[in-house]
Amino acid sequence: MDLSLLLLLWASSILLAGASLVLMLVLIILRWLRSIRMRRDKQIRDALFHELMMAGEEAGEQADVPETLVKRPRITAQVLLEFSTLVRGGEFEAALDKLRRAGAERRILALLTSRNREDCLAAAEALGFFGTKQARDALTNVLSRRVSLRLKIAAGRALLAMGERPDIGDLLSAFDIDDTVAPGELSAILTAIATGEPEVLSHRLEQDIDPPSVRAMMIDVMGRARVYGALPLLLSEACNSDVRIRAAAVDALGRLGLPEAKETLAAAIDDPEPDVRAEAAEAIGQAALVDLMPALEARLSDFDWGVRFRAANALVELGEDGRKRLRLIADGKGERGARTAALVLAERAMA
Amino acid sequence: MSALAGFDWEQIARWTALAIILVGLAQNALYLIQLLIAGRALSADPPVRRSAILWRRYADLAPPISLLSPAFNEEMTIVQSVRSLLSLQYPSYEVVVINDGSKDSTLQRLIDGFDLKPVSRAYDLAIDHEPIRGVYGSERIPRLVVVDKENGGKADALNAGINISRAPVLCSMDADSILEPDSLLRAVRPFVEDPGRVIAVGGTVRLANGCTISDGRVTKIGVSRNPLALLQTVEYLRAFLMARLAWSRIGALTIISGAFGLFRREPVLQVGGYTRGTVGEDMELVVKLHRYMRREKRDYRIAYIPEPVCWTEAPESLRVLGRQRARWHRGSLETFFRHLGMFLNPRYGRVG
Repeated sequence: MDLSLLLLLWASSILLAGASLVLMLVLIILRWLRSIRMRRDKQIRDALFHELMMAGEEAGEQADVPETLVKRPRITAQVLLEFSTLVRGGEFEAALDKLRRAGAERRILALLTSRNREDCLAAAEALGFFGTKQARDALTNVLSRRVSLRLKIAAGRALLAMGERPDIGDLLSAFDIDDTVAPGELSAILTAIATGEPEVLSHRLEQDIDPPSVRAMMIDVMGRARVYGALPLLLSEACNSDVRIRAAAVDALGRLGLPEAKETLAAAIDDPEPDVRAEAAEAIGQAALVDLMPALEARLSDFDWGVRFRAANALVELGEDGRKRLRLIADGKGERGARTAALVLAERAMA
Repeated sequence: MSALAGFDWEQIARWTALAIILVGLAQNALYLIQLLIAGRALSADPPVRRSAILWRRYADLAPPISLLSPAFNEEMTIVQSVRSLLSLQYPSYEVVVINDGSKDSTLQRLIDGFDLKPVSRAYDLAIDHEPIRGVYGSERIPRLVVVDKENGGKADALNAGINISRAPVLCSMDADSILEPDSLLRAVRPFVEDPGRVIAVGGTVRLANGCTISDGRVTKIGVSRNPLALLQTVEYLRAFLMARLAWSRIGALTIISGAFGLFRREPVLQVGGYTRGTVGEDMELVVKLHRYMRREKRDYRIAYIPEPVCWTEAPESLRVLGRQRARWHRGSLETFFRHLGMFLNPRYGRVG
């Protein structure tokens, strides 16, 4: 082997080592500069927080926030978000007013186009408090820009927090969600719509144009928001071919607790999917459908623990008759059913 | 001697030097690629610094979590550790402490410290483990459950915890790990953002050597004066912030530290939980999850968050460090041979 090859390797190794040392030095200097900046940021954050806390106590004429404290919109947005978790009502409005007068909104609007994604998110969330036309326009604009899904969802949540009612179709098409990646944050938006305008959500579900994961989420929030007008829709979705939709619909029917769901739940408790059977068992207990007690008893020997456990709990929920039956099963010979019944009775101190 | 005289020693020395240099270069090239991927990941998804913002963003959407903490002969620290676990910032979680047949008074300390009483709790025997002797709960702290069982090792204790727990997401940890107050809130982020695919999440474990710890919390971050601990600090930063972040980005993360990891309950049950009797049960579980999800052709993701979520003490003597590393390498090899069928198998993609 030629010695020059070894020399070349040695030389390149030494060169790389030198480059690494230079890089390390640069990183150390950057780290040092960063620590100085972080110290300064902390001082600004603390001072701004103090100013906002004082806003509620300053009756009558309020002192303005010094402009130096709102020069860094990232910090202003973060402080405002933190402040919103502690203070509400008039004191929060007074603090917001102080920030408006100091020109914080204009700066946060500019932050919305930052290259740092976390800054953009904080800006979108913070703008939701301002409720001005500029903030509304900027957030609406985010929905049509090519930005991350998280930022779009944050903008959508902020618009809803401002009292805006963007069209659900426009929102969902702006999010462009495929079936595998429906983010959990979407349910916050759907919950706001289900609470304010449930008929919009029902209409959207009837159109059957969204991916199953999003439809399941819509059904779930309708159940949680107790949208009683959605009963016919939920009854039909409980027979959907997608297991997620079926399970969500059965769960929602349980939350509504209406006797009209009896036949649907009687069918759902024999569903081939354990998730649906488990939801159906719980729903029967929630809706106090005493007639379906035999179906619950049969499910105590289901191969799936979740189904057995929820069926036993549902029997407890059905009152003294249900508990009596559970005690009989606990004393019986069916291995799975007897064990589940005994455990649930013991846990609920009814053995 | 005459046989050795026939060798061309100069040539052998040159080839050896070349091999060493090439291996070094290859390793550095790999590290450089990892560094670039990790840097890109960090800039694309920067950590949220303020936990109040995380709370505002995720508290309503976060799934319930069962925190599983196996304990064996931890009488000195167990009460303090559990107190610290009970004060984490998370909207809905239960703490399941599994006393793995401790020989000391770990259980009694827990009973006295939290006013525990024997309770009945319905649970399935979905995964095998040594018999449970009793379950304890407290009226004062309903989110605390203590399981007393026969000794069977960490994997066995975690399996008992999985059976007893009820939340859809499990968090496994070591009893001597110190969690950041917002660790669950940070680690649950991938589960909220991508609920359809994320099945497990790992987080950065940092070394507590040299840090100030009070009331079960790291109150001041410091650096150890022990050279071995210092080296391990750098090593941990490289392994977690660079390697694991990069591997997770390319969908090939094969280990989530046993000191802290979140798992979706359903796939963990499907693979039979932790394999009992293994040394590296944390790595083995992740590889099993990859294997199962790929075999079932399910779209999934094992995510990693760069934020520090957990602190642990590193060994400060060569003897203990040697024992620890031998155990880790034995665990890796055990997992490798157990899943040899995945090696270079195109069916398992990058993980293979």
